[in-house]
Amino acid sequence: MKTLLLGYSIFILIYFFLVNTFYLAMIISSYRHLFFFVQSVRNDVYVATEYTTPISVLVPAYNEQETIIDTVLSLLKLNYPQFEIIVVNDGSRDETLSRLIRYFKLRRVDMELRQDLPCEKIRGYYSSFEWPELVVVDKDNGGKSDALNAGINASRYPLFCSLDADSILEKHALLRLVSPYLQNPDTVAVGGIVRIANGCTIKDGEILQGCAPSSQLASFQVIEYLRAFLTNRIGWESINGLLIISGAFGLFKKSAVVEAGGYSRTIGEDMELTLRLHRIMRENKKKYRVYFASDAVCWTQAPEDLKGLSGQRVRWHRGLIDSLLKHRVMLLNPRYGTVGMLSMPYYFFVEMLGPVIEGIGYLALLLSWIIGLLSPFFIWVFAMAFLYGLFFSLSALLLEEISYRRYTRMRDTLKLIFLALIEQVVYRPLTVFWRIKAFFNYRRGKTQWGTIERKSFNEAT
Amino acid sequence: MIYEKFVLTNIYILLLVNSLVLSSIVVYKLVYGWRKKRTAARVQHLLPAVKEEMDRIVQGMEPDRGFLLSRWRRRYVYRAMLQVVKDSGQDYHLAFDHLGFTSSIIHTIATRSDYTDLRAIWELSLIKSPLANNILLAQIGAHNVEKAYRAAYVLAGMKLNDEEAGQLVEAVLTSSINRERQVELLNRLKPAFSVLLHCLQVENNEKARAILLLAIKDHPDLPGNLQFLELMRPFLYASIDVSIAAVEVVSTIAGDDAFELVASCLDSCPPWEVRARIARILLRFPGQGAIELLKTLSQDESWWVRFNALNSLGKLGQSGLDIILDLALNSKNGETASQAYQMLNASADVFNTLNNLEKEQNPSENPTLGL
Repeated sequence: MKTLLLGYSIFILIYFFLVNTFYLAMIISSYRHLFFFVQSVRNDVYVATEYTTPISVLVPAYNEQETIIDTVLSLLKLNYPQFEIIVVNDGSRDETLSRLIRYFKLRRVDMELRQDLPCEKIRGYYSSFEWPELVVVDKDNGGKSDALNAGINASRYPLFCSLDADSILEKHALLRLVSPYLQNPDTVAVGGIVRIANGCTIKDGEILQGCAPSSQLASFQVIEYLRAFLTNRIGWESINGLLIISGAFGLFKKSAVVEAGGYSRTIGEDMELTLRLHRIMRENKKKYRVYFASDAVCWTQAPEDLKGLSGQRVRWHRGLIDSLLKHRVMLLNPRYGTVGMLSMPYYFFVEMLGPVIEGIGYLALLLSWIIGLLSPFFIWVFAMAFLYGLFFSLSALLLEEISYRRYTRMRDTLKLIFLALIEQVVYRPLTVFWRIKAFFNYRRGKTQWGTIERKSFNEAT
Repeated sequence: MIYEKFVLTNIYILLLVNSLVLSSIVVYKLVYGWRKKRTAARVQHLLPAVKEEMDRIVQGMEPDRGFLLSRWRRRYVYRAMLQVVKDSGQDYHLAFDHLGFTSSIIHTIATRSDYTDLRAIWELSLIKSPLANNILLAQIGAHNVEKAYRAAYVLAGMKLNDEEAGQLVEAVLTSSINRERQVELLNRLKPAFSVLLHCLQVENNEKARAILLLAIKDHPDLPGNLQFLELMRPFLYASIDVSIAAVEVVSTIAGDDAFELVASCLDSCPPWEVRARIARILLRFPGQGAIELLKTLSQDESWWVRFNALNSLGKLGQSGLDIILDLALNSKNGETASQAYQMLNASADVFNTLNNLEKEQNPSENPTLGL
């Protein structure tokens, strides 16, 4: 038994060493990229003109009555020359559609939709004469991917941006998101940064001040999001190996997505689509880029209770497992370049299997303590893992501080630092547990929507 | 044991690094806030004196305050000067040139990294010194597209002579800057019309010709004479992009001759993309001829051509509405009839026309049509 535990400690040590070296490289790479982004943003001289490519903003909505009006209002205020907002009501059972109709004085119109992509039956098509850029599509329930496909069918413009119905975009977000496409027309997808809106001061669908949430659970997620977006995604983008364009805020070239067959009916439809775009482009030897625009900001509501959070994390991890297994042919396959040789192995062995390895570690720690075999070496390995985790969280906070500084108050920064110190022991084991849970029946609920309890943005702040 | 040593060393290093990162966050936050306040206060304090000195230099006099050249204040003086330019919107490039700021920025761009360049280019956009023209022109060919675009954007906002403007147009057209941004840059530059026309005549690249035509369309000196229209004729029969751009130019001129040219282009059965654009721009031509053409185009085989033609008819008011109604009820072409019906049902223009009609008939009542 002792030999077994020692062996596992050494395995964990080597695993952590490899993974953390990789993370370190990501942080260094992110720092370079982030610095460039920040310079670009602070020295903005360009303006959008009528020639800037128009965008269709797709907002799939299912039971979003609390936030949908604020979301649409914030979208109508966007600084962008030409865009349309397509809200797709995916058979909501609450007042999502009726509230939209009432507030925006929508009128049912008899329109024929193109059927570029398959989707459930369209019940109605609504537009507003007061807000001509707003369109609402009402359809039978078919899941988020189905709603997005319906939105693509209804869209008029060559680029589309998918957005969660509980999100608020910053005024220039769309302009910044489209910027990589303007620089390089081979761009097929651009991801934006998602930040947590809980605790922020919001008025009329606009973020007035970025603040740390009052809920500790939501604050942990702030650190988690900063770590994921500011270090991980920027790093992957620099080698064109980014595998996730968040469904909460991402821009896609419509022709490329339609050619790839649109969103598929899977729970992690955003990751699956990005993986499929990589795969098709590389198989057909087409020039393409997937970018991450860390200056394009979307604020979203994070779950503040354990039930909501656990549901979200299980769903996300199920989506990850499903997408990776579906495209496993790319794993360690040189034909797919950096995606096959770097991104896929990373996502497979670290993101997907990491929680299992970590979970076994926690169990081994507990077991060896119970049977009295807890060696100092085993504790040191865990302490090292803890310190590495802390280093990545603090690095993300530092990157945020030297770049975007969305949290202006000192007390918010101190609170986030404190939570970063305890995150590894309080919050991380929970996420590990939920992610392991996702391995059981990971195919279940493929077209389900997330069931996080939403508050209106005014109430949430 | 080697593993234990390795782990312990790692732990010590990580403890050290983490303490450094943690204190950096706090120190950075404190120092940043303090420096921001201090710089703002110093710049504010220097602002009136700096403005006076800048005015003196622009009027050809020597500055009489030595502090402008003092080394430790130079940074604040420079910030204050930029602030003066931002606030007043006046051209103070002589002051920047005289105090050596322009040359030091040029030096920065020539020797430093991409990151610094973006800031330096932005500052040059405020300074507007002709001394920087050459370095900015050179940046347009840069590998970094953002840098190329920004350099071109700054140059396009400066006063350039015809030769320089021609060089800039050429540099923009041959750069890797996105097509939409190229048109935007040429619009911002607004070179003499003769410069654009010359470039168009000598240009062989189809993409560049389309861009030049779009820039010509928005030019304030766009001539409306027959000679110019004849010059446009070959472009109407070129590639799709060039034809569309030429259609836009001709429709901006409007008038009977321009209409004849567009109508003759339609006679040659151009691709659907060109027909669709013609269906959209026919609105700019007054007269029955354009309406008849729209009626024909609303029965085109292509969905987009029909859609644009019906949309244009919808914008014509009551006369267009009558035609759409007639097409919806009587057209033998099923697709046209169905699309015309949809237009009646969903177009905001049709809705507004109906609303206006109702207002005219019942001026005292609040129109309620459709809602």
